[in-house]
Amino acid sequence: MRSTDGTLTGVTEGDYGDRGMTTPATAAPAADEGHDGIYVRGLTRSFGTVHAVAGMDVDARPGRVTALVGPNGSGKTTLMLMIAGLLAPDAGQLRVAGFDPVTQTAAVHARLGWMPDALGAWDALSAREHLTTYAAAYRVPRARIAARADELLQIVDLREWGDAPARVLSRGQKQRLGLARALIHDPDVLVLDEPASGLDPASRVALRQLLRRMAADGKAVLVSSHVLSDLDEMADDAVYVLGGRTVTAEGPSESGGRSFVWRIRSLDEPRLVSALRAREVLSVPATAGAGMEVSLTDEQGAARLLADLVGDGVPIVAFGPAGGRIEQTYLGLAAERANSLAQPKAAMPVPDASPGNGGHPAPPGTIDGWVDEA
Amino acid sequence: MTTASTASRPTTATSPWRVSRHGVRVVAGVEVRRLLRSKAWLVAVVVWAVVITSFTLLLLGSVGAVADDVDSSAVFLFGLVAYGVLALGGLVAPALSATSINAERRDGTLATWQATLLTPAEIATGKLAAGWLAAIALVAAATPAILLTFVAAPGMGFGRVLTTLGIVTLTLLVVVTMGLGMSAVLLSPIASTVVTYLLVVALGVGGPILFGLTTALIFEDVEVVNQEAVRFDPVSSRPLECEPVITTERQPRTDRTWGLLAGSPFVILADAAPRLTDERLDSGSFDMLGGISTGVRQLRLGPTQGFDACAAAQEAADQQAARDALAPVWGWGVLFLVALAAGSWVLAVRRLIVPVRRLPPGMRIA
Repeated sequence: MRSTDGTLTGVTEGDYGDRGMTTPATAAPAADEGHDGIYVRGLTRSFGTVHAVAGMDVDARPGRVTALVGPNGSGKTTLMLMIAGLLAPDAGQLRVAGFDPVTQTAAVHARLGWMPDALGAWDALSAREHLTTYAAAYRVPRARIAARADELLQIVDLREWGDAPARVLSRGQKQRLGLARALIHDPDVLVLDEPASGLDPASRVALRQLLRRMAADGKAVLVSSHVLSDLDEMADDAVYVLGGRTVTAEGPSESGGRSFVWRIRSLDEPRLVSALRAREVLSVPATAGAGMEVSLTDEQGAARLLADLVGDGVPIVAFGPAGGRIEQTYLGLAAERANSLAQPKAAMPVPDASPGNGGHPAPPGTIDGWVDEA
Repeated sequence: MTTASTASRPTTATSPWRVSRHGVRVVAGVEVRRLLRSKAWLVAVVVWAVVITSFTLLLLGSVGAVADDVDSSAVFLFGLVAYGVLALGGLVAPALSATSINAERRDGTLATWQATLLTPAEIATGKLAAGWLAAIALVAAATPAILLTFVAAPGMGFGRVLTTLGIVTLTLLVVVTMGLGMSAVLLSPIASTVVTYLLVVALGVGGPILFGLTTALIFEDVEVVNQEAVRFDPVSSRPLECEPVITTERQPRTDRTWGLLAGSPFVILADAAPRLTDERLDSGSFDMLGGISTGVRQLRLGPTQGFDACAAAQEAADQQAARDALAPVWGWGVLFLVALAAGSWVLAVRRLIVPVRRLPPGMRIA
């Protein structure tokens, strides 16, 4: 877990701090109401006096993987329950695959694969029986059910365990069964709540590849995770939620004017430090591992700095973002919010500070409610 | 990856109350498989059958030893065994369904059902169907004991065996349905189990107890029409002619509270059992079920029909004809049970409807 005590932020001026251009890896389509993914505007939902979702705007478009990032209790699960047509919103617009989960629930259920954060399984039934049962519940034609269950057991690598009762499955295996369950009816839209939790590294890689493949097939994928590096590698877009609100919704490749921390490792560290100093780039020793960290606003600046350092003859062995884009954006947002809470007349109003939804003010330099499972 | 797109994808909401055979079969299939694979259930059925059968054998044996005449007491014994099966069934049935919805809520499997194309009514009915099958299995396991008692008193007529099995089955189905309703309304499996047991006790003996307790409150001055003898047979001094004499008496108005009795499955069972023919009664056997039935039917009429001296002196056959002419009450009881079950089912379905608008405190969706 990186400290965000402000040592690095705001020190990146000079030649490498060009804010003029950002280069999104994939251009996000313009916001429109027409897409068949997940469209959310001004969504709210309270439980008694707790405003679990206090105003969220989300676009998860077909063909893209959208990351949903936020601390525990920020309203991610509540949002997903509303998308899945299980919980009615208090207000706001909500469309899933073009349908309204409240008034066209069956239409949404037929097109949506939902994976809850805590998957329950019937202990006495096998993985295969779970899949065939859910296939029947989704009215997959009888003739296709057996083949579909086989196919999914293969995809999530549970073939050997397909006929064992669910009670013997490990947490990660149950998680994979939950993923297969969400895919059983070949949905157009996928909503996955913490699919990576409990997965071993190989399964996490497989999950990333699977979700990329789903997006390539034209499905809209909304995925929440606390493993931000995973999200970084698979997400096209990211939605950040704090205290029941979406803070920004932008592609992780866009910096949005914020600076990101880059880590540089050299065979000759003193030389690296002096080279950086000569180029008037502020640097600090890396918080974890070897190397130095610098703060840069975009990739062009990073490329220029790398070229310059190589030109200076510094033996560079590693040059890359320290932590992912999503992680840095998220930590930056959280720090901003913490700062704004510390000052009474902050530019960024945070009206909701109810307990239980992550809305309580955090002391600067800490991220409230954050549990890093990575 | 091949597609497995569903044959027809709905474009609107389907009614939460729609029940398809397919949907019920899917849900019941899971429930039945879970039940059959739990050793506890098999053990429970075996223990149940052993308890009921040995209870019956002991009864038959002890009465045979005391009276040296099982046959004359067999009608009474049959009633006892029928009540025993009904009471024990009521004690076992709540276990079949009283946690079926809230335990799935707790285990996180309910929401995944609700996210499918199954309607809330299909989920509730599927769980109910499985609970009903289990209840019917219990009745089947108790059938040998009931048949055993019947063999000791075959003259009673097989109709009593059939009505007993029918009313016991109906009662257990109703208890299972109430359990399902409670498991949908109450979040804690322990609470729903306890409440279902209390409901079973209230259903079985609560009404009769309340009837007894309220008797003191329903005494009123009523005009009672007694048929008093005005002319006697000089030889036998039997009354030959009676005249109505209207007197004012302080009597309990049971015609207003008989309904408290009619809902009890014990009363329903007794009243629904076919009445016995003269020969059986004349042989000196005590018919508990028939006695309860006649008693409740008379209570229903209330005190306004007083004592009839002429009728009391009639031949036994005529007396029985008069008793048989009393209107039965079990139809009302069955109606009440069916209404209870229907209400519980509606309660369960309503609690399963998604998307949830008002979330009760403490309830989680997933």
